[in-house]
Amino acid sequence: MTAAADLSCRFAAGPAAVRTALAAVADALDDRIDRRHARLTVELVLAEVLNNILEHACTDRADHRIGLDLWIRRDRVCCVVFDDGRAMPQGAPPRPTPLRPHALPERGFGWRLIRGLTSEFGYLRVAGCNVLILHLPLPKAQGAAAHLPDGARI
Amino acid sequence: MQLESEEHDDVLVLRPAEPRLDAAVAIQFKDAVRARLTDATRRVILDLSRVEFLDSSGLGAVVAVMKFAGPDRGFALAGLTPAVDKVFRLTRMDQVFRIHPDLATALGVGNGQ
Repeated sequence: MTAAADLSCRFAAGPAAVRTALAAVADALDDRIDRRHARLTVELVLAEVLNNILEHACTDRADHRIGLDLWIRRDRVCCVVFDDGRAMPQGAPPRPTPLRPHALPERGFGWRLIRGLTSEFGYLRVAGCNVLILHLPLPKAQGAAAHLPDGARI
Repeated sequence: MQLESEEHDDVLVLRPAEPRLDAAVAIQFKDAVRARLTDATRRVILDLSRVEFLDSSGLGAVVAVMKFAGPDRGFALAGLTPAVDKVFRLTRMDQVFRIHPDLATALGVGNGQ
């Protein structure tokens, strides 16, 4: 990443700090993306990612940390989310299991939403940290405000 | 979790009055719905017109309350906002819920209109 992030948060891996971080994300998006629907979609993906980290990666001790960097571009929002919790099982994010909506599942929607709403998705385990890279497409011509500088590349 | 309710004969309309139905309130939402259902309730319409943000936990809670209502009561959703509608479509749960564009339509269906 060569350009400074539009939002950069470092916070404790706990529900209250995650809520505060999501509110900061919402504020950052509010200023730059004119369609409410698009803002809520970005917020939803990050909420699912952060809830997964709390529920699965950072459960063994109280002092885990999470980082979130976010870049807002004309056609997409790019996010890097990292934590010092345990690695993904089998070294990769779970593949969503086949959907059986008529079985009325109450869980298992999170990864499906993350995958369904991102155009690019990557996972790395680096120096004891999980690193997730996410690109979320924005609707054409109605995404980030048109005056954004377009020079810096990610 | 603020949950408004209205009764129209044997139809119970439930309307979460907050913009977010997410992990933070999912359990409260389930408990609040269960507390409102009575033996006399024949149909339940969950009016989601004020909910702008639904995450996977919120969706799980909506599925749970439909199951709690049971197969003998009609259960329908109404007034899905765009981001909420997208969650139902991406998870294909739009295939298992009766979804009406708004509350008036949902009530009208029950009256045979």
